[in-house]
Amino acid sequence: MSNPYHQSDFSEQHIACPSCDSLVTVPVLQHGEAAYCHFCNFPLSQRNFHEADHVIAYALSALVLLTVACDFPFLTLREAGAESIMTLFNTPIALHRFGMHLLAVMVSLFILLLPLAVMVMTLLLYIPLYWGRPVPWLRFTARWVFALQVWCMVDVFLIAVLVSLVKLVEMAHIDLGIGFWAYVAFTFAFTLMLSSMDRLACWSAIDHTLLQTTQAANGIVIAEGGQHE
Amino acid sequence: MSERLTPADRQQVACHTCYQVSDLHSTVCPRCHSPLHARKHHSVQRTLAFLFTATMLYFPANLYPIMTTSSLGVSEPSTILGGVMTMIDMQAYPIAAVIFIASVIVPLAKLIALYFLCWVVKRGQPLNLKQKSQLFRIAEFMGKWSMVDVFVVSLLVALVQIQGLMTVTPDIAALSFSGVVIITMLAAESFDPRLIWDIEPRQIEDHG
Repeated sequence: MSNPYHQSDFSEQHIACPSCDSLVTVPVLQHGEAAYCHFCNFPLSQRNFHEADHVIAYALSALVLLTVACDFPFLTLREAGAESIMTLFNTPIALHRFGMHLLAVMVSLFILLLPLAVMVMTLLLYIPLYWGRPVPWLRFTARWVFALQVWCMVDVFLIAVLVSLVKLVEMAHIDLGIGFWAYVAFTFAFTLMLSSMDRLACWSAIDHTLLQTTQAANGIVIAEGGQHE
Repeated sequence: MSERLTPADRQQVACHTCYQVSDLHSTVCPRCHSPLHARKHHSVQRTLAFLFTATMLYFPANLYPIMTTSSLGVSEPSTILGGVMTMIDMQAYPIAAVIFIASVIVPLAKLIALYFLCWVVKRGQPLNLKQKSQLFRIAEFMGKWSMVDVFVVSLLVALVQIQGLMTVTPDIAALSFSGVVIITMLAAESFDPRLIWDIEPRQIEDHG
């Protein structure tokens, strides 16, 4: 089975723009090209021949980095001989201790649970696509991966960390832990992962992967590799 | 005006999730299996309901303290604007600007933008539709950045806990403010940007 992200596996697409509902035709894009809606300028698609490779690489790195960020101290505050260590996990726990249960749930969802869910689903989606395997959960994961992206606030949290650091350096001595550096790297990997994913290309790849098996099941033989040359 | 055709003109319906166009009678998108509907249901009513809720929460979010800093027995509650003032006093101008933009300007601008777009859809003039689409996209994108202040409070609460010396506790505005952010995000999500273009006058009959 071929990687459906290969250039020749795409054809012109007749779709409706999600922003203005105009019928538009997205031509076959070359590597690095992007398509915008003719009427409202909505970015419809951005083509990258190595999309699956990049997304998988970023997702795996992000997953490893998040694990590191959770396991090691994030920031340590030292003041008059006393010290207080913060990890990523005890951010929601501290809110919970002060009776802010709802806020604790939201913070843990936005900075930990949803990004984790998106990364795992991205891997479950792109690895089978990369190998051209028509696993039954392709549609489910693709729908959720794109729907949940808005609610991942990993990058916002990084800015919040920097703002807090500026607030604190005046008051006390702060040590940046391994968890902090891992989180910075995680934010970059995660953001790159999200920006490498193209909704239209992803659905075309899913279409292609599923179609290939339907044809195979119906006894239609596809000449692998030879058909495009 | 160039001839713009919508799926409805061809007895078709478009999918919100994968953009594919399918037959008007389908209830589920053949490509991604999402439920199909031409426009989001009760889009403007839902958006307005969320906007009213967010507007009401906006007041406690700004009037009540977002956190209390206790240092050597002295408790000092601080509001969002108070935090900006402290940063200006500390001469940390870039940070003051970040907090001011993210926590004061963005939520307010987003509320105004969405109210405006709801009004446009109901009674507005079909002018500069491209810019209005753009406005919606910016409002949608900016929404989550207002959470910065809430995250700062969560971080400080988790980190600054040296009993008797310095502690930070979260206050009610943290909850109201995250309510404002999340509810405006829900408002943006329930608003259907395609309604903006529905007000454009078109002569379909002439095209046959």
